[in-house]
Amino acid sequence: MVVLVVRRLIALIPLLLGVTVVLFVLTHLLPADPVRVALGQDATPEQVRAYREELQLNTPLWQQYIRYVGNLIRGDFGKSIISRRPVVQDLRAFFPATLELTLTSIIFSSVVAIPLGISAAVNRGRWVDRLAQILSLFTASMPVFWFGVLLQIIFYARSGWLPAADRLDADLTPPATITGMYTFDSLVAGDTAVFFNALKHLVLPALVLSNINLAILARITRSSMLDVLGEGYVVTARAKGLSERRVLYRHALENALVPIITIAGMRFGDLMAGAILTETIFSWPGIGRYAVFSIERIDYPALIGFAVVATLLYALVNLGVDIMYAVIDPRMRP
Amino acid sequence: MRSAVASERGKGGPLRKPVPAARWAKGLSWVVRDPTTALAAVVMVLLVVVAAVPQMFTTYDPVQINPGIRLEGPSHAHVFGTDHLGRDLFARVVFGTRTSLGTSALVVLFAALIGVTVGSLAGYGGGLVDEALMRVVDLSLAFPLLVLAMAIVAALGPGLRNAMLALIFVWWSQYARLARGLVLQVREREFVTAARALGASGVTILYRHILPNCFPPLLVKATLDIAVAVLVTASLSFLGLGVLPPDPDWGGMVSNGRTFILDAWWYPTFPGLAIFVTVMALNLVGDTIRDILDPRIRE
Repeated sequence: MVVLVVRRLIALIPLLLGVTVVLFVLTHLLPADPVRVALGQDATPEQVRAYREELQLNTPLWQQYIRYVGNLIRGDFGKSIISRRPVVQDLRAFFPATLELTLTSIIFSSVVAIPLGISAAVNRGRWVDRLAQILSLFTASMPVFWFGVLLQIIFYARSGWLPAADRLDADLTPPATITGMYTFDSLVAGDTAVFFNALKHLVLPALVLSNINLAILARITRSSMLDVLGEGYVVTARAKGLSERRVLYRHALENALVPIITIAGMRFGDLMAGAILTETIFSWPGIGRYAVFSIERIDYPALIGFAVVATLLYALVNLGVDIMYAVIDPRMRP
Repeated sequence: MRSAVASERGKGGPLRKPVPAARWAKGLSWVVRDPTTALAAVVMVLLVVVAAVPQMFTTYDPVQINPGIRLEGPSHAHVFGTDHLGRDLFARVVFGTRTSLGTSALVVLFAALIGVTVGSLAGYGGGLVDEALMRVVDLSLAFPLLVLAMAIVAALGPGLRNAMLALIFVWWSQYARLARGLVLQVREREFVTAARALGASGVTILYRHILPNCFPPLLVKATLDIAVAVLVTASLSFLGLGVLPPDPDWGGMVSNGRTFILDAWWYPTFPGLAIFVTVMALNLVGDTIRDILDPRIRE
């Protein structure tokens, strides 16, 4: 087990080098000058030169790259060209918002999708099954950003029921930082007004992001449950007189979980892409929005920093999936 | 082109087993029994026609600015309403079809060509070539698709051409992996051994005997991928990284339109609906092709 984890972690190194090389070369090929964008139209040539000097942009590309990787090993992602703050600091500031959004959506989509999938498998061919099928076709064809805009039109522009941007109303103060997730922190602080406001702000973005995984999860749960429902141990469990609930959730679901988790892990990249779009639509101050911001301003240290974190997360989630196999299914322990 | 039967019987010809006509016929009769799929096929044909000759479907110029009629709601004259510059939204959606479908089809085509070439060489060649090529493929499969595409477009500079390049760059590896797997399977079949025994060269075996037998799964993936490509290119345009204004583009229209949701719900709604309908039709048609080509997975 430990060997597996270590080997996988070592395999990450060439991967991260790959990302940084590709992006480093590409960003330095582009004709636009990030320094000019950062300093604006009115900057004097001296200012531009001074800032280029400060960022050490005049040294050859390979030297810059070596320096970058050297810093990266120490956990230093360099400084943002725009905000002039360390990229790590920026990412840390924006990350909790993304975490809050994605966690909420993962929990919500699992809570809805897994029972739906089970119910579709048990009632194969009946209306629940049909509904799950139609739902999955719809969500697979729905552009994330359009779904977000539609919800904004219905719940914000037309009815005014829910806010369409930011994490809190402007007149409220965010809770003291514990995790950086407003709902959690405000609950710990016992501030119900802030909690409910944060929750209200969370509803639409979380719903949009859940849309990405919900149907797929339901579909995989269905087919995976269909596979195990015919197995001998399910028949035995039923014959023993266990309640249907216990048969489905304890005996069948636990065995059906491996494919469900695999697919969920594989779809994590989609979830990240979805988070970028969702955060853009709802002005949600997470790392996805930070990435889009840095792209617009060709802030490449920030952009590469984001790409490194995204790749790392993606790889770690997939490693986590492999570890979970071993936890769920003893036969898969290496 | 020789008929399938002739090529099967032809002396020295490829010993491929094409999908029998009967199975297509059976598959197509199934389409007729399934009205949803039939409708999707009709929508698909219509979309292709619209993409080919958009000027047949509207009399308006999609880039003609008309400040007198800014943000007007749907009416008889402007079925989808007008945008913030007074342009006819229906005309823009119609002209956007070509961009959207054309871009997506091209991206998938090139990704598939590159991927299949690399994958089949790796699968057939084996050894060091295989090892080296597949490490590159693993590397590029380890990235989340849209995130990497975004970063690359950002680096190259926004625009349709760069968006397409970035997508091909991040997409080909999926085809490489699939093609390699298929080639490895087919390589061991008897007719390949037979062809080799008859003295066929490696190139002939790969291109005349092995690849044609790998075609169905690749075709299914490509069809379904065009649906994904429509979504991804629209997403890039939505983020301001794809088609540049004033060219009409669905993702870009939704992006512009969302600033006006308080006054003009129709502005982002109709272009998004076009994406939704297109992707749904592609998904349904893709599923049907898969069912026809691979009856094993039909439930």
